[in-house]
Amino acid sequence: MEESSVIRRAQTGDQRAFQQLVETYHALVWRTARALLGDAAAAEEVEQEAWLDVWRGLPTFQADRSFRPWLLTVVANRSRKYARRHVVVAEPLDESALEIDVGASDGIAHVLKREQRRELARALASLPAEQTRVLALRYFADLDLAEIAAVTGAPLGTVKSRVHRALGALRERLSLEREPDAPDGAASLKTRADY
Amino acid sequence: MIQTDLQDSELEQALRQQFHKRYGDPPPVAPLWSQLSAHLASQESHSAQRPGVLARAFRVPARSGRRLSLRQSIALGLFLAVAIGAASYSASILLHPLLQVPAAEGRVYAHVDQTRTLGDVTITVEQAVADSDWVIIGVSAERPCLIPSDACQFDLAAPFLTTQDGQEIKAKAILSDSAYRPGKQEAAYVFFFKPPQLSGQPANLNLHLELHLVGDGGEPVGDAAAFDFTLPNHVGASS
Repeated sequence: MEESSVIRRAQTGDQRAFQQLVETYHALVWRTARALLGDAAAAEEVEQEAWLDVWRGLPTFQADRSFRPWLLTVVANRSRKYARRHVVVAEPLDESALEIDVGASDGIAHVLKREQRRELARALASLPAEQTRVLALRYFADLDLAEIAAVTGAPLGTVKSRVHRALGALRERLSLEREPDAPDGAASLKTRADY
Repeated sequence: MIQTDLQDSELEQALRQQFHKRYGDPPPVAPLWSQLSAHLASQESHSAQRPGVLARAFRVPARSGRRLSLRQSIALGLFLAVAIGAASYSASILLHPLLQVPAAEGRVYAHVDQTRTLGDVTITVEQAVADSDWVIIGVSAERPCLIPSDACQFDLAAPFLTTQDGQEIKAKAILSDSAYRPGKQEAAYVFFFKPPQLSGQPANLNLHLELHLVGDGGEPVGDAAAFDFTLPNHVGASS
């Protein structure tokens, strides 16, 4: 069934249709709130409130418009409201959590990959909060640049420059080197600290 | 060894992995829907939550010059009776659960019961208490609203409290809740302030509280609703 017809049904008070929207967009809403607020419990609270806002606002929504941008605006408004009332403390980066799939038998390539992840984590932690947020919205919530501009309230040009500066800063910080005879891919990369 | 930049696609992929490890996966949707459907059921029980329900109940043609039939008149009369009854049902009903959270409960609140209006929003400072841990102020607010819509929504800015010796204290924490009830949009707030540092231990605190509505950009807008009241100073007492 087309999304517009699901929305029209939800607008008439059909809770099954509304449930379908919730299930379709749950991950997007949660990831966006998570990236904006940096806190898991806050993201869950904001998501619930945002969906209730959507339910209340559906009667005034024009079903021929795209639902996703409107939904993201609702989530952004709820997140701002939450942030105004709470001191949101982003969870600190746990470097040990980044050591994935690495075992002693996996060889030097995986050890190097682990080092790369650690280095990237340190580099990310050193970025200004605004740059980290746009990266999280881009690479965790999978929003495009226009959507990031909408949810952060920043002009599109500002978002582009933040992403560009953040990626540049990460590249500079990482300063990775490659062995000439190593195979392609991240597994062949070494950090400067190894030399 | 050859110096090289990390390729864009490699960096982007690494960032996706990094954020995924940092933030994790979304929780299952079932518990969320369970909570949402409970809210929706609760709102349905208030019967007039959605304009579609109102429209269906009365079926009044939008541009019709016809008068209401007897049946429609009775339905409208019943609705108004419910709405008026609900209007006298104080917004403070939202406030009481907030005053029962662990940080606020167990205190002897003084009744302040001062009401001010900001535009069409009526704000009442209902109860407050001051002890060695907190100055806690409970506020209810409501705006007339026949049909729930964005235009009915409102919010209060984080307030400042001024003491008798001119100390200005910013709220440390704010609890809030809001709901639509037939005829009005309601909200409740509990503001937590750290107690003022006063010379001696006065038996009473004379407090001045100013509340602003919040604009679309999140900043305080318009005039302030000002409240002046006195609280017993329960120094040494806390929950």
